[in-house]
Amino acid sequence: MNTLIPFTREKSAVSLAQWLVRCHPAEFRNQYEDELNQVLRTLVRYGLDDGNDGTANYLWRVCIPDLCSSMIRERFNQWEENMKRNFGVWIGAGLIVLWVLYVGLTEARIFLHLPIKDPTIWLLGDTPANWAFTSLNVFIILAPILALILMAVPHIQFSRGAEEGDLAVIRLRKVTGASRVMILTASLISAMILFLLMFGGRL
Amino acid sequence: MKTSNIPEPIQTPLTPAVFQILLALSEMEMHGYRIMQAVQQNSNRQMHMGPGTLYGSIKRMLADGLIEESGERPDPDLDDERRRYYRLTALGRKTVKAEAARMDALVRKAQALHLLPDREGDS
Repeated sequence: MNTLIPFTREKSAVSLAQWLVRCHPAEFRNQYEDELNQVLRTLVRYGLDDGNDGTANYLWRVCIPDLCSSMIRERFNQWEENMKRNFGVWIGAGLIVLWVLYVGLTEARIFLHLPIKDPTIWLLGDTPANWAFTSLNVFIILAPILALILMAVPHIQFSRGAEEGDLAVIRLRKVTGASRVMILTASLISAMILFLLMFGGRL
Repeated sequence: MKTSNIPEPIQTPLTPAVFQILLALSEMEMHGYRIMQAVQQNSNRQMHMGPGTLYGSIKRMLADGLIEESGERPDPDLDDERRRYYRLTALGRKTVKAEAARMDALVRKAQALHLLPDREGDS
C-alpha cells in the first residue's frame, strides 16, 4: 500500500506543476512550455541525481515553489516590457483622461449648473495671466490630437527596404488587426478635430 | 595585430543561477534536465535549481548572448525524446571567467584575513 503514496504525491505534484507552467505568460509558454513539461516528465522517471527516491519531495519542496515564484517574476517582467513598449500609449491614455475630466467638469458647470468650481481656476488660480490662459487653451485643443498620435505611433511599423532606398517608409499594408484600426481611428479623429477648429466657426 | 570580436563580458556579479548554468555549460553542451543535475552536483547539493528559475535564466541568457541553442537531439543516456541543447558562446565563456576571477579574488582576501584555510599549492 505504501508504494502507492509516493506515486499519488508525484502525480498530484506534476499536475499542479503543469498547471503552474500554464499560468506563465504566453510568450514564455510558447518558448518553453514543452521543455518544462519534458523536464518534469524526466524528473518523475529518473529522479535528479539519486534515482527516483525523494522525487515527490523534490517536486513539492523545490519545483512547485520555484514555479510559483518564476510565474510571478515572468508576469512582472512581461508587464514591465509592455509598459516600456507602450509608454506612449499610457501617456496618451492619461492625456485623454485629463482632457475628458477637464472638458467634462467645465461643461457640467456651465450647462448643468452644477455647484462645482471652475477647473480653470483650480489649475491657474483666480487671476490667471494671459499666457497661462493661452497655454491652457492650446493644451485643450492639442491634447486629444497629441494623445491620439502617441497612442497610434507604437502601432506604426517603420522598415528599411532595399527597393525604397535608404529612407524609412511606413508600411501600413503590413499593419493588421487592432493596430490598423487604432491608426485609422486616431487619424480620423485628429482630422475631425483639426477640421472643426479650422472651419467650425464658419459652419 | 589580431583583435578580438568578442564583446566585453556583462557586468558581474552574476546571479547564482546564471553563474551555475554558465559553469555547467562550460563543461559541455547540455539540455535543461542535465543542467539541473549538474547544478546540484557542482554545488554539493546545496543549490536546488527548479525548472522555472532554469528556463527563466536561460531565456535572459539567450537574450544577452551568453548561451546559444545547439540543436535538438535525444540524450543517449535517457529516453528517446528529442531535447533542446544549449552551449556557451564566446561572450558567455568570457563572462564566467570574469566572475570566477572575481570570486577567486574574494576567496584570497578571505584567506588573507584567516577566514579560510590556505589552499594547497598556494604560496
